Amino acid sequence: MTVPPPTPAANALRDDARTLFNALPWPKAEDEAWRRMDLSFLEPERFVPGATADLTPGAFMEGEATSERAGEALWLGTKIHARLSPEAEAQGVVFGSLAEALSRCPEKVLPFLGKIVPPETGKFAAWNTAQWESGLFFYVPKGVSVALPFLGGHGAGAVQGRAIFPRTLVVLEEGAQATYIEDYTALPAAGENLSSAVVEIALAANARLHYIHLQRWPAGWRHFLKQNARLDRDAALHTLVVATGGDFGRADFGSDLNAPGASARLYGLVFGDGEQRFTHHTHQNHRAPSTTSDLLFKAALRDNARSVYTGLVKIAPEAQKSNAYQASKNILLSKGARANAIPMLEILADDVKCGHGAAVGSLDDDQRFFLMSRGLSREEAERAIVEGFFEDVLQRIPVPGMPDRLRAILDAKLESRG
Amino acid sequence: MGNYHTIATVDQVPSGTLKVFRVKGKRLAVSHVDGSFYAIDDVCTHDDGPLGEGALKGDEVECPRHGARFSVRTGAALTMPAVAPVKAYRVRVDGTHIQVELP
Amino acid sequence: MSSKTDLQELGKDYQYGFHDSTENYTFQSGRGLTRDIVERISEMKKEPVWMREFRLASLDIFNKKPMPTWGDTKALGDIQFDNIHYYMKPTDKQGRTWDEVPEGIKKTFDRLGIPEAERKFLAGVTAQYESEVVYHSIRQDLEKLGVLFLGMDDGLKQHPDIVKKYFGTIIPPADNKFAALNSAVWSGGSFIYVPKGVNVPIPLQAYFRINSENMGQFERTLIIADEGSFVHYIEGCTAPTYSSDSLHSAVVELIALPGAKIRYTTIQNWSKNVYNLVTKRAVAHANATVEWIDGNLGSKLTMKYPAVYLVGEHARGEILSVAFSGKDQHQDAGAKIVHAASHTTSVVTSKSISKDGGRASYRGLIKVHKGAEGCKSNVRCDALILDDASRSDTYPTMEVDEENTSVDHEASVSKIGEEQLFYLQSRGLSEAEATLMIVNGFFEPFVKELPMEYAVELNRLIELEMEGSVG
Repeated sequence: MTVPPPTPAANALRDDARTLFNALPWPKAEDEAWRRMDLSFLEPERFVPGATADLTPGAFMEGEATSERAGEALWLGTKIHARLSPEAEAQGVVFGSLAEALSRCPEKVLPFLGKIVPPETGKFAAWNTAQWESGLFFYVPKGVSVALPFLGGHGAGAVQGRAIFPRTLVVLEEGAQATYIEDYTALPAAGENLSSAVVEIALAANARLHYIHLQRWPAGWRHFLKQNARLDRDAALHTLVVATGGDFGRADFGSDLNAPGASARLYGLVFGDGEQRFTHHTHQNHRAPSTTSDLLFKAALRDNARSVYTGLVKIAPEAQKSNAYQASKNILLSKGARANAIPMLEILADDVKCGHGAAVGSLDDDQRFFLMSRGLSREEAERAIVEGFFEDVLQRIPVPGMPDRLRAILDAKLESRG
Repeated sequence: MGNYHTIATVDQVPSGTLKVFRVKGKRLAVSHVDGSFYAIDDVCTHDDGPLGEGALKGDEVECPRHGARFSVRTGAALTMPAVAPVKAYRVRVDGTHIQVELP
Repeated sequence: MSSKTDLQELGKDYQYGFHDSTENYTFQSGRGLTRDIVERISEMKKEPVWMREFRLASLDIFNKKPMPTWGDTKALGDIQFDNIHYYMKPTDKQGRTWDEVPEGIKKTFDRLGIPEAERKFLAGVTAQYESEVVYHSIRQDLEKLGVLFLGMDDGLKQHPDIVKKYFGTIIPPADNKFAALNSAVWSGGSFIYVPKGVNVPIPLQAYFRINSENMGQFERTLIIADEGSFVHYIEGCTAPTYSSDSLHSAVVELIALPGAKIRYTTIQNWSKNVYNLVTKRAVAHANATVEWIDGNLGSKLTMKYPAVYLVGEHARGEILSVAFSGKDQHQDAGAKIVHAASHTTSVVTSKSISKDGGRASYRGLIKVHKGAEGCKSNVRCDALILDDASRSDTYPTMEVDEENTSVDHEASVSKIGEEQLFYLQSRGLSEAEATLMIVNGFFEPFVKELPMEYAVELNRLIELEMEGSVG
């Protein structure tokens, strides 16, 4: 089956983005948003666009049987491996290549593509919008509810000196419900690579989405992500972000709560070791009355790893009766670890409840002593405490099997040394 | 004990100047004062920004943003608002190569 | 003028006071800032050469430094540097007649019980205010203890060695554009030195020596508490204070040597034409404590982040900041603590209220340097927004480079709780009375740290503000 060529509108989006990309400068350390990330080594333009090798489908979320999923769409590097269950297909779900969807059903894609994370957002967003090849489109029609999760993947084989541009668009129509897990990973290779990704999520009235985002790039990868979700009346978004991979990365996540009753929950788990550097920026934009948001970002850092968390909760004057909470909790496990937490509030409505908290500390000595006195070695005790630290977030994931899968990923990293 | 790595050549750092070079993933500010070479991290411990654009005054570098001064020899913080020293590296000259000792 | 002679009588230290030395000069500072003006200021004050050079070097820095790119950049952009008198004799300053003073201000004076003589001064009607004779006897007691408490100008003249040792060492001129400005044109402010082991039993108040130069645009204050000593200094006042100068840029440097304790209380209620941009910083050595008690009620824009650098083990910093932001106001305040030594502790409490379209922002920094082990910091910010026209922001930063640490921050923003209001109303209070009670309770941690007369004034002022009857 041949794929029709992209429509003029799709081409225009790319061209405009290219113009913007050329006009914008690379972020500098002086820019407030990039102040704590040393970008002087990046030299982004030395990376050649496009993956040249693939990984196997099994590399994503390995060990999970396909009967437990409603579909997969996995970019292996140069090609996509896609499968959709007959039931989901019959219900009108679209899940697969974004380029293909742009050609076959542009009316489903174009109202949203480049609108939720516009290329004007910044250099990296413009770069992705101009360059993306490996795109995923996930669409659930009105009133359709799919219980089994969908798995999307963005990856590459063992490549060197490449830049890839993963792009995802998720559209849920009124009353639709789904669970979508995305995994970003590649095969280990010597040398450096770059990923500049964009994820856009549009939830119509009463739509509900569980979105789990796993970032598991191997060593040598630099990772940049811009994600935004637009929520309509009474829409609900639960997001979990797990970041464990790459040498360094900056990921921006958030939601625009544009209509009354919209609600967003954002959970983050970051685990850094070695010389990893993570920067996460979140936004909770309350633009309508009676909207709620809740954010809990937890980071554990070992060796010389560093985490920077910045986040902005903005409540507009018309967003009365909204509730927002934002928390950043960080534990430092080694002498060289560092954490910065900068949670911010800008509140312009009065009839609201808004709060935030941040904490940075070391492993609780009392807890460790207690566990060691019960026969655990020092390492086992520390591991148990870190597992406990992440547990309250893991327990909030209502997707069967996911908490265990994530525990396994975190444990593997906890056990590996160096 | 670490190894010495070449970071610059002697003629790249004339007497009385301070310049920033990269070596093994680090940015170091290399200075040439009274016939000797010195190297410190290119990071002001006050605000984590670069020191390298600062003025070299004798054997002190002044951070351009808030005026904190550090000794280029030892990395010691000499004035407010800096209160923590910046890391200093052992330097040797091998022929025309300025080398720093890195772990 | 008779008031000048009275001041001369007050104590030998005043014979070199600013007033008589300027009688014969013909210099009249025009608008705008030039090298010439800076040199004349230094000349008129008969300063040592090093201070003149310090001022000139600072002027160069001021001219080179860019404006801040953060904060209320819109309001900052309105400052017309060329349109300011950087130096004026207090008696030459443009005053106003009593009739021109807004009714609301007069009413506030009534309610606060401000004495007649003070009213005219505070309202900008007269340029001088005669100090009470009580100041004279306090000064004699202080002299017996070896405590120095002088205007900064006099401090420089009479104790140049101490001043030179510390002046500009806590806040170098290059620290920020407004510190550079102050370093070039500073005038007035307080100089305090407390010898080892001395406990100053009563709070020292700038109000004792009040005159226009002490409520000046570019005050410079330097307080040194030697080992094991204690001093409490209070500046400002709750009563609305008129200033014809639109730019106030003060610098306050505190040094608490090992074991010493300094408490610095400020209440500012500047008129709404004032940009109040202040750099205040303390260094606390081993086992020393510095407490900033900071109340911001007035001004069009205040940007002020009292800071404590904890550089010796077991040092402690405590900052209590309160802001009330009404119509056309922006209180941009906060706290900075830098833990640069082990086992240091800090507590920051910030409370703000914004109403009638006012904006209150908290900006804070807690930094723990690598190697500063076993430090503990707690920050608590609570903000009330009283109506939908107002705004509240919280911008805290935590930078932790040391694993063995505990840093905690919590903030909340809300309106007055309905359950609380309902409860009080059900006990017979009107909504206005209930609201006032809650607001008083909200500010109570701050008010209880003030000396009695300030506390009483502040409570009355809050009542007035809540009634909406302040001009």
